[in-house]
Amino acid sequence: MQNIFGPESQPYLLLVIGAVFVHMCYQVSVSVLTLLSSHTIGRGHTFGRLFWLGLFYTFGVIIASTTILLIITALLSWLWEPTRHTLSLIVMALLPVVGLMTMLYYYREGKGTKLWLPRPFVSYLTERAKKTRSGVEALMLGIATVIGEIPFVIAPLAIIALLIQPLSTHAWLAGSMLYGIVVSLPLVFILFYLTSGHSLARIQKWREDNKTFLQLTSGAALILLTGYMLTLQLGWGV
Amino acid sequence: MNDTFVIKRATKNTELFDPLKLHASIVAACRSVRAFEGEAHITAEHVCKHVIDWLINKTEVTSEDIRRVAANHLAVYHPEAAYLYENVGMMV
Amino acid sequence: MAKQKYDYDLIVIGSGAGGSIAADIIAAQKKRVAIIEHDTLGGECPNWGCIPTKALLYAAHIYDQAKNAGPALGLRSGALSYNYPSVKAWKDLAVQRTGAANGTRYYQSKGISVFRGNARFISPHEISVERRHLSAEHFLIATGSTWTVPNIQGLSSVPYLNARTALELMRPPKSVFILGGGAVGCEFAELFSVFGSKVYIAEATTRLLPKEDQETSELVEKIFRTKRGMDVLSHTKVLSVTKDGLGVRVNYLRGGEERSVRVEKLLIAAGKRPSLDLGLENAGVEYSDTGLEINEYLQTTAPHIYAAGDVLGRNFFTHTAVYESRVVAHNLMARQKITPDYSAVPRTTFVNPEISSVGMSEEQCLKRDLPIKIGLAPISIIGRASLEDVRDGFVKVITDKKGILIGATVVSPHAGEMIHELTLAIQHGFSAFEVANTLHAFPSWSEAIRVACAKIKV
Repeated sequence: MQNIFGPESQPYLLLVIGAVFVHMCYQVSVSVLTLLSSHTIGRGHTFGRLFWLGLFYTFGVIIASTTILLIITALLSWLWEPTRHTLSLIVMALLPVVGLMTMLYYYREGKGTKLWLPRPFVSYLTERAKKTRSGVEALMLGIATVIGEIPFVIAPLAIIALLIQPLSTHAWLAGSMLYGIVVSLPLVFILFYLTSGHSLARIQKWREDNKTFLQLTSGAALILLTGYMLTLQLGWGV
Repeated sequence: MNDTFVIKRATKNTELFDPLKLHASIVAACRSVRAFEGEAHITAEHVCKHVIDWLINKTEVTSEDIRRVAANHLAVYHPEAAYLYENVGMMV
Repeated sequence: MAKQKYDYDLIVIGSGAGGSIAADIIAAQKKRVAIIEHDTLGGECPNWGCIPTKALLYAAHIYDQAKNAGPALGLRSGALSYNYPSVKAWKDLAVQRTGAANGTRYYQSKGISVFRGNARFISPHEISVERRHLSAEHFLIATGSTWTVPNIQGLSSVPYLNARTALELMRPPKSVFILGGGAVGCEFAELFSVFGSKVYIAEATTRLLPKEDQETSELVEKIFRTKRGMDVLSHTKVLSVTKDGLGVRVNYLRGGEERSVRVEKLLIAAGKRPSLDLGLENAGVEYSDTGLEINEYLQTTAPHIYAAGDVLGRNFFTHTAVYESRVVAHNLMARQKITPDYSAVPRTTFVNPEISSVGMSEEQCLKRDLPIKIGLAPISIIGRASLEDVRDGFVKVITDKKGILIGATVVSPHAGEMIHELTLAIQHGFSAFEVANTLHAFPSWSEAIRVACAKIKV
């Protein structure tokens, strides 16, 4: 297997960028952060308090994303030798399916930015966001959000896992943490945007106005990444 | 004012309409778009009055109905707060 | 139709013309039907709409004819007077004779359950009526319409009449300002002026009866001004109203000048809007301020919910509501759905002389750049007009370039009856030539139709 940090690494970097972009388009954690912020500001808390809770929430998202990526990487690594071909095919099949599902079903029809998550889980997240008052609660909310997001983000996570599993375990940890931080940048951006006094309604309006674009782009990107991976896979001599 | 019952869409439970609850939720919506405290309370009072007028002769409504009517009236005073108020259940 | 999953096969919301017909028809097919009514059974038309207003107008016209036409015929009317409470009692008797308000027994005899109260959708197949939840496989929304209250400064703090409350007056007002120059405004203007009120009738557009032809409006305005002594205020915008002692002061803008008049009563007849506060969002039914969104089969955006009558926001007539109710009943029962045909809908304003029209007006034809021919016959040229001493009125027919009738207006005594000949002709694509060659009895008012049609040369 080629070393992705070698001179031939550029194609794989494109894959990483593609996967990061797709993951950033997924909006569950953004939705919950918006909801959390709405309730926090609505209770009359200061910007500092909002920043504190948002920061812990973001940490929770990063921790959960990193952990899940590590778990997938470890699993892939453990199962790679005996079932490499099968696993590659599974991942390659997963990507276009998730991509197509995203394009067709990610957002529910109608107003707002309702997602195709099970309603009881959404009610749970909504209730928790309303009742979150401490940093620890916000951290746990972040973790719970990413767990709920797994059906969508499994595709980009699988791509990254495939790419980093040939490397050392230290590289796994570094790569996963870096990935977790990068895909949480939208949350950081929103946090800074809100705490600098901008309106929450504007963020939500932007999300609602552009939800179709995000949905189609992320779905299409996943399908394109599949094709791209197929060409790279041929280069791997599988 | 006749007692009006509110059907909660999610749980299908019915409870008596509580204007104080509505007032608090509108104040929260106004504050979430950084309206001043006093302004939020005054806006909530106006909106509650409109909703209570609308509820005359209605014995049972859903929570969605109240949210919709309140958001329509709130939009006159504070469009951003109205948008958030109407969409808070549609964010996730 | 439905298995026992639902309480009823059909729930009709509204017992007026738009709902009761369909309820009857479906119940006759041994289906489980319920009807919901929050006001008086029978709806607007028999209780506070067509029947009571036309009953009052009938009394007014008889009084007016005896008083004004009598002397020319050698009749003396010196001691002629009226007792308005008795006139009102006559109106109440006419309403009572319709039997609509006692409809519960009638509906129950047909196997239709009647529920009293406001209906509100709580889910696509369920409504709440006085906290009682009823479910049905199909619904028919026939909630009618309410009077528009214009946004005028001060209106919320002065007492004003609408077309319903004006019927309950115990005496005609000394003076009345009528806001709205449509059919209803004109009818009330005529009613009050006959019984001695000083009438001001204001219309925001260029003329009274703006939906009728120009000639019609001009004639009506002339009659109102010269024979009824009314102040006809077209091109008028009411700016504000205030209480002035026991009366109302109306400030209005006309011809660039602000004026003011003090009247005893203010009557708002500024149009109607559909009654749509039913929780339609909970049923997935889309609508706008102007009415429900329906397809050609009168189905709303929720396919199991139909609508008929004023609530559609199309025509505010009893006869179209009845027609739409029949169409809905058919579409509920039959596989092959039908669409309503609005090509020939007659409309009548019951002033004196009556004004009736059907099909397209000349203005509508001109707006669409249609090549048309017009035949106009003044009513005074026919024998009947001479023997009844009627000078005002005309029949106007509009045809396409091939002479096929597409529209007509009749301004004449009994115009409301005469128009049906032309309605039939337009609906079935008759030509003016065919109508002109049909025998019309002499001396009848309908002769004017023959004369007007004969003027069309193809």
